[in-house]
Amino acid sequence: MYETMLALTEHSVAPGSYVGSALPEALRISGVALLAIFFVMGLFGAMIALLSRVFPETVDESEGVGLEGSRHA
Amino acid sequence: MDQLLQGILSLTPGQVVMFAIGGLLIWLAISKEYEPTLLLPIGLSAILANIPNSAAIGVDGEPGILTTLFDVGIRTEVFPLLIFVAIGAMIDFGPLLQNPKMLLFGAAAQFGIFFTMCLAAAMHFTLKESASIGIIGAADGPTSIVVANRFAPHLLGPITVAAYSYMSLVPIIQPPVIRLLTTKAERRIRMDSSHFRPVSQRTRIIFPIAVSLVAGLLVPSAASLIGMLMFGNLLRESGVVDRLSKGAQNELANIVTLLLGISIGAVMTADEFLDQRTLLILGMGIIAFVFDTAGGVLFAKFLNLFLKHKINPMIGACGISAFPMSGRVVYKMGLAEDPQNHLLMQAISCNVGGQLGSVVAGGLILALVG
Repeated sequence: MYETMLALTEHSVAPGSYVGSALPEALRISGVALLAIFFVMGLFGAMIALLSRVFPETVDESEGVGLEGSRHA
Repeated sequence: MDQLLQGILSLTPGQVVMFAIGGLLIWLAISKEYEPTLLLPIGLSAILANIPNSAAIGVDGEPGILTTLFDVGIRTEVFPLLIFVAIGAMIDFGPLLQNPKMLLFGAAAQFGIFFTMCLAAAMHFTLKESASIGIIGAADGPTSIVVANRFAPHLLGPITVAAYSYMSLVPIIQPPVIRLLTTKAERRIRMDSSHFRPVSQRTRIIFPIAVSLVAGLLVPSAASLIGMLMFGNLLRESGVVDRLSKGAQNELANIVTLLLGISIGAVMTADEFLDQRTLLILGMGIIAFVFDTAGGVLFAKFLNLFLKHKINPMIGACGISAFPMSGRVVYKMGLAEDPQNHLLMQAISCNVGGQLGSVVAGGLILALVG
């Protein structure tokens, strides 16, 4: 009996598991996710900038003979 | 005779309504050309799924073709992930690689996802259901399907219909929001294209590999979404598997789109679809698109407070994943305001950034909510 009640209680306090409980958790996750998206996209941007510096476009490549045998599909 | 009439006699009003909804989707696909590749098969499969005792759904406990396709392709997430391979092979990340700052708009324009997620939670949907509804704002069908299938498979039908319908309605949804949030002077801002520099083939090849690795390490739950997108792009950019790249762009895209569309009907039975919640989901889907657009535009206006060379804030609206509709909408709006204002490169690079942003958002939701 006690175990059943404990299980029910645990279930009811789990995030999003009962009606009306989801908003605070949704707000928290949204805040974290938005920051994370900016971080990840910023990281991708920095990565592109780095790649462009390490592998700059060369005259040969712009004429289509950069990487051996490669062509843009 | 009784057996012949059995189908008609056991027809419920709900099933008749679903026939009408299926017919409406087919009409929208054919007459209005709203995402016809998806809405046409979804429409017919919705009709097939609602025929009483339909063999398409299953007879005597044996699954029918729709349920089999659904189990094989959607429940396992194979179809949406294969669509990502096709999309990756179609995308030219070149404009984004030439102007990586535009990636930030791909982040800002995901705001609608989270606004809608909170709205759904406030309307007493559970957290997982709210996340699935919010992801409609990714403006990205496969991402919506993956997240909804994982968190709220019972809502997959309305979420998929909303995601694909609103994507085709981008030219109608975005312009009024953009006009509302910008002044005429802002819409006439011209942007310098001189910083668009050509990128090397090596950069194009390393980019999908590096993104797969970094995104996979940071958000492992997004590894399959981003990995498949980048795999398709690597096929395209490597230049050595032209046949595979073209196969992914054409044959794979066509076959999987066809199977994906027809499978969705399996969850569009009257019992599951005709619910007050479906109307709420359709309503919240449009809110997600509106707030995505607003998020991108307002972020551009915020950046303009600090920038010497101002950004046309309309560009921010292209940060949603609906490609190339969103980019085209903003390009046309720019030309309408000033015939000499060509924003195409900026709009497209931002739109490509939105494609990446939506997948990252989907992965983050899978990680944080799951």
